[in-house]
Amino acid sequence: MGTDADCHEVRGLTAEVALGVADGEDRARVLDHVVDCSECRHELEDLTALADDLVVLAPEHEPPLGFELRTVRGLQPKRRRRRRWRIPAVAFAAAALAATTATASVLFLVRDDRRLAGEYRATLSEANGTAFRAVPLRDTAGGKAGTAFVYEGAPSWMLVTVDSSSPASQAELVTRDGRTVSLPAFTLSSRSWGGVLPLDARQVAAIHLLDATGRSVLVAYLPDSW
Amino acid sequence: MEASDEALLAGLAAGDADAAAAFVRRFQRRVYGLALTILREPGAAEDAAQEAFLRAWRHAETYDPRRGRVLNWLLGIARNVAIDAVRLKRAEPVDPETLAATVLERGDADPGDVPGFADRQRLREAMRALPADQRRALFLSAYLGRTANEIGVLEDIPLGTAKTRIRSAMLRVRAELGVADGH
Repeated sequence: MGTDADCHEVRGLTAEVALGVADGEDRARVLDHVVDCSECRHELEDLTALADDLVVLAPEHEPPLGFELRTVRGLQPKRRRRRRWRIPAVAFAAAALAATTATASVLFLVRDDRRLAGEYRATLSEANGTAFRAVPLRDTAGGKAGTAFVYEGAPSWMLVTVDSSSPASQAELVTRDGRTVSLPAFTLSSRSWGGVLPLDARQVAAIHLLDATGRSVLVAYLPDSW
Repeated sequence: MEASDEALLAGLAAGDADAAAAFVRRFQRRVYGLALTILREPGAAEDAAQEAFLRAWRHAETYDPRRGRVLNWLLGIARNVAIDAVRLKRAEPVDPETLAATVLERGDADPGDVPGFADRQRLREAMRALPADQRRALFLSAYLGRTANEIGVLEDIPLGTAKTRIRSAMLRVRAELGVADGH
């Protein structure tokens, strides 16, 4: 426990320490004191919580289109090749079958991997395709809200399905070189929509579904290579 | 069921790509909004916001839920990154009155869906009720990282006066919120 004089001196500095603008010496002085002085410690904790709350008042602002994609790419550790190789053989085949029968739900039956791979190749060959991918659509809170199925072929196309009603009525693609490509307006009849892409699917890095005001309400990211 | 902020942060720390995407999606408007408030320039704000997410990813394991919410922790990182950017550019300090107007006059976009909206409105009101000189000092330190010494120079006042303004503002806001809480 410090003396009254110590406490008085420290109380003169707690606000600056809480706001992160005290110099090193003052900060050390305060932190050293509060180890043994519960009253000053409580004040410092109170003011630190208040300082944290002050910056939460800053208004939200929609970042530029493509921000999410660029940021997420920077956060991903390098994937292990082995893991990426094993998943597609089963998961992609199941997704391809589901999409081509337009059920929009993945009916995954237990099958032999080799047979599935054969069906997968046959499905792709229908339109000279080489790959098919299913990626999660996420809402503004980051929760999974649907799925985007993307087919690379001639032509490339995509089908999106959403889990519940959505205000999405437009789509915009962000390409790997940072361009944005608008797709025609649509309605999510039966909570799904699909169409031909005006570019090779492998050039697509992100799919944004926008509401009538142009705000991105759902987004899906495609991996760098697939 | 929607993942909690803490669960997404844990996934981010573990290198889960889906968790990382969901984490960015959930917080990007707040992080970018704070960076834009401090830096006033979209390109610089985007760089700062990206850097803030990168630092959050690298230091996710240092988050301690006992010391506050994920949002506060993340915005604390974003604030520091943006303040560093301001200092690096040696930019003219933002006018604290303009800053205060931006923060206090614009509310949350959609109050019905925003957790903590009422608390933030009470905090805004307490900030508005401050004497103008104390409010300026508080914004200069809380948002722009200005020390008492720097505030003294900017406001052309003695160091002791700058320190008193910062402390008085903090105590006054705390007292206002305490009264409103019935403490």
